[in-house]
Amino acid sequence: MSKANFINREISWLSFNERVLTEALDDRNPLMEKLKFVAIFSSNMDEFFMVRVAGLKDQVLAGYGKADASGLSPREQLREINKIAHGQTVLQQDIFKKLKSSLRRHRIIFDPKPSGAAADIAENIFVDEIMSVITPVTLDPAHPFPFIFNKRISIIVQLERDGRQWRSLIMLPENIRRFFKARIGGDTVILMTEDIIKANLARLYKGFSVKGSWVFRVTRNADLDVQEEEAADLLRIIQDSIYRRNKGAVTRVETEPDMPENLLAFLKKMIAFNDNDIFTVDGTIDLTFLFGLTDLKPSLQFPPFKKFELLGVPPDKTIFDRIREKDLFFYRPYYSFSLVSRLIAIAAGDPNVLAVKMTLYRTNRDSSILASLVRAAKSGKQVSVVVELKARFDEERNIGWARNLEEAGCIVTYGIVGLKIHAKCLLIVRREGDSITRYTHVATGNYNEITADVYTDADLITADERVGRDAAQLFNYLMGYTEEKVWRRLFVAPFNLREQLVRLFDEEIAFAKGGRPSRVVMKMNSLIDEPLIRKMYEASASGVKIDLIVRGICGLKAGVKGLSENISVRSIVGRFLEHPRIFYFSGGGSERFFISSADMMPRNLNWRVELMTEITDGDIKESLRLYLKISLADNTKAWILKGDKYLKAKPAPGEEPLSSQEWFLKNRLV
Amino acid sequence: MRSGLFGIINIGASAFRMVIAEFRKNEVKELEYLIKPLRLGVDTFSQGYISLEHVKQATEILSNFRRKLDEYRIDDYRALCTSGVREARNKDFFIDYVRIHSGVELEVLEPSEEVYIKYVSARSDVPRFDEMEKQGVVFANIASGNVTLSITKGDRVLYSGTLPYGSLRLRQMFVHVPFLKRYKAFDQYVDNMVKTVTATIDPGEKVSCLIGGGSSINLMLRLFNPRGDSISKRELTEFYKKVRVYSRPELIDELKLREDEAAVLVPTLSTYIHLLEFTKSDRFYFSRSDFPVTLAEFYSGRLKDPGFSRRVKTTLMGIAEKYRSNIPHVKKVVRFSLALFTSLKDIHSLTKSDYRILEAAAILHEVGYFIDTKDVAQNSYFIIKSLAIPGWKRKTTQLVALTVYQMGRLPGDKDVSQMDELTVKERLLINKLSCILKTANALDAGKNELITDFTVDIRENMIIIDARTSREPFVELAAFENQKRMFVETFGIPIDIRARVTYE
Repeated sequence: MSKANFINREISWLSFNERVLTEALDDRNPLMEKLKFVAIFSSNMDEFFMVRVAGLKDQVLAGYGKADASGLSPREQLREINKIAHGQTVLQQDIFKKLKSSLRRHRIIFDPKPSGAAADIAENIFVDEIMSVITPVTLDPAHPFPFIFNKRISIIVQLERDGRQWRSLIMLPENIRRFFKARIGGDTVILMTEDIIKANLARLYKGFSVKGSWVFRVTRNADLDVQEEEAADLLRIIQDSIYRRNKGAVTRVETEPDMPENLLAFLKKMIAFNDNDIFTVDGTIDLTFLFGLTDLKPSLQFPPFKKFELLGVPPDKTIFDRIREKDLFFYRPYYSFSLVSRLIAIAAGDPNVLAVKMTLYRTNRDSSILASLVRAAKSGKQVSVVVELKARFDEERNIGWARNLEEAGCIVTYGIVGLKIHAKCLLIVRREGDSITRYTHVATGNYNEITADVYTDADLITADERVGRDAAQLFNYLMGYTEEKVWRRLFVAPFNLREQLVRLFDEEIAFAKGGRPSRVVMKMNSLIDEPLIRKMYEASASGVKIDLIVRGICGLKAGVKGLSENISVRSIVGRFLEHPRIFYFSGGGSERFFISSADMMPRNLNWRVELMTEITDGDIKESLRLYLKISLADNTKAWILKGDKYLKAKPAPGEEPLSSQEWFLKNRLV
Repeated sequence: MRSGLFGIINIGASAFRMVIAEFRKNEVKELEYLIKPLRLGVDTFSQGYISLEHVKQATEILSNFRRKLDEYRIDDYRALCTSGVREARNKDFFIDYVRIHSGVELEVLEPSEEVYIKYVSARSDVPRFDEMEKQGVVFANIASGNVTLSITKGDRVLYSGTLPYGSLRLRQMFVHVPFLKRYKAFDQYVDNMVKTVTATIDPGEKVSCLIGGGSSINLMLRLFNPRGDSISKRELTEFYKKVRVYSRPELIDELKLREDEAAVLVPTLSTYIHLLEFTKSDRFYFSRSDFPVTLAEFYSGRLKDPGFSRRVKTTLMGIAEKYRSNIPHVKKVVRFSLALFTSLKDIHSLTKSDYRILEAAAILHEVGYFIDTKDVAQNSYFIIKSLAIPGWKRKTTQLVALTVYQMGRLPGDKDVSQMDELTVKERLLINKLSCILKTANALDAGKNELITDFTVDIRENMIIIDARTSREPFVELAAFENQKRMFVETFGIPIDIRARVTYE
């Protein structure tokens, strides 16, 4: 198969991030939400350079030059990334300029060069808040060039004294505020810290003449081991070569456009980067600070929404009777995730509950779920928690929970070496009369009560004994109690999930070839697994109609004649982060629906513990059918992939605009 | 029959397994099945003891299993060790260490009990087992430590034993042989096993079916994925020829095996192929029963063997014949013993299982004559002690042997019975049973079947045997006279006989 049949992972990701950025141009989004999309774009880009670009640079450094599925070598990928990222940086600043104009109409003003009252306030801020926490380093033989930390806003200052030129560096400390708000008249003036410093340099450099100052920011190869998971595919390739992760190496340097050439050359020499790493930012460097601005005007945010509650679910331990009668299923954030928290709380207080087990990948601070687990353990139930400590950026917080849980008497384990636990599973073992009933919760999203308001996900709670048995086995495996890997109802990566997906596609292919109905609909976050993409192409060629809803990275080219003419791909980017993995297979008439924690990426299918659960309840299947139908009908927040380019969906003539997320907010799915 | 939750832990030679099952009426629900590989057999079969490192690893696994028991709040469990522990010289240390550090109380499963449980399970699991058994069945349970063979035909057990030919044991035995040639060593060794077993069976006895069971079966099923309930010899042989020269890493990579599975695959295949050659069958059938699950069913009383007593009796009679006992006399002694047991039940207070011991002792009471007419009691004792009757515990065999020994022991005979090691209750049981057996034997002491029947008249101060006889039984009366003292000393009441000659 030609390499031209795949889209490069990094390019696809950049395209996704651009879709996020473009949300800031969509007038259906309130102004403050637009700022949030710009901030998300920045934050995403930082991580991309710290991890993905860093990984590719490592490959180049290790002399690895092999092309990926799309035919691009690491060096070529870096070149493409550079070109796209430069364009996106310009686009982002253009958008930000427009947003600043809009903000001005709402009397929120950015003032990079404060004057008058603003200058007075800036001076006060400088003296009271900033001056004591910054340490300018004026370079001379006794004060060599300092190490510039990752993502730290820095200022290089050109000075003169007695006809002699001096250079000085100010690196903003990590804990300093990035901006200050000044109320002037009826306006809210936003003063960026670096602008305040620049306006007050004379106070810092007494006896010097300040000739100029320029802001810059260095992004480096992330020096956290845990981040390597995100670049594992890149690193695994070169692990056999004589290789040492080039931690700390520069991957990007953002500078102001008017920085003199000689200063730039000086920085290149001192920080060790080259021209390709330079991103000239005509505006404000690092727009992640916009996250902190979005609550400035609540009226310019998305209006709050009332979540649905599942009907007929009792608030006490009779909930178990209800679950035995029929599976519970709901969608976050449209339905309240508090049902799961409540279930755990009920279990903690129920004397018939013998054990509670759960996986914890990412949870929120002050989680009521953790509090319930502690209560359950203290009341003598066996509580087992499998904690994934490799959840990016959360490791410190996770270790804290783990300690608290252990102190309460919970059995805390940390999973299997080499396999990150991404499955979301809760098991409640309950004695009912003289028998045991197991209640299982599986979800596509984490046990995090905060992100449950922002991520869209799907949750199943069932008393199906076969699911319970497999869930028990999963915990036994994760806790090191067993090596048994025969599953009855669950599909578990890295053991049988991939095989099952291939089997399902093969069945559809056989149905199509036999003239029977065949169709696949899959909703996921990322699709980059080469064997599965090939299988999809094969299915398309056999006549299987495939509709994919892929939020982020997609390595598959859609609707290409002779390759994928039966495959459509769309990406939905909106208010909530699309997160559920929901799969539909026509089954030749015996339709099958699955929910999963896994994306279609090698890391998920090969190196993570992931779950895929078949939905058997007829009503839930109908609900999922509707969910997928509405998602596929989205014509306002969807992007359609044509070949390797995304085009914003538009309502056809005479068609009503439809935003799936808006629809789900207003209409009950279950 | 138990109900509620029940736990079984099986400590095998290559893995630890655990089942937690819920029993309700006729329903069995398997709640948990755990398996943790740990090749204790590598130690036991190569150096004779379990290393401390493995003792500690085993304890860690069992501590986790203990947690599972605690999770369900189960007190009702059995933790049973097979050959990997059973044959280790430091098994007592192992059991003690595990008990102290994990709280799990281990028991050692006797080989005969192991064979029997597996056999009964296969009977209930394999379709048409009864039909096959009429033609003669080799039931082979190939585990890591041992091969247990049960060769049955009709109601008779032709051979039953646990042989040290387990796949892991073989592997350890020939670990020094280069892997390209190792299969030849397996072939030779397994061939020897088949010859050893064949030698114990009457050459006229033909068996034509092979049924496989044990932990090896899951592996076979995964590799061969058979549609029905059998795997052909052709398939097995072709596969064996292909993989017998694979190294363990190759087996793991190519066949996606666990390490413990890769270690035992080739010896397992070799064993099946040799057994197929022995039975001259073109395929082997298999029991999908899993041993820990079987154990759970067995000890909870779900796994039943309605033909057990009949099969044991038939098998014992076969043994009596093999040792050239006087079969009409044996049958007469059996009948008289059991009649006396029933008649005297108000006095002896014995149980139904004691009845079965008496019956077995009566059947085997003169096997010692096969060796010599001198020291018959002692000879019988040793022969019986060496038997492995499927379904009998070692204790049962010992009680039968002691009953026979005590019955035939003459004043002045050297005591070989180690009666002192028995509990008071057991010694009393032996005395009661041997006394009844001796009385019954006296009633046909001349082996002429003169006494045809009798009734027992229990009076306040005396028991009278009212015997009907075709001729005056001088030898029987004399023998009876000799055992009267033993009877009164055992039961506290004198016994006498009145023989009436009946005429037609």
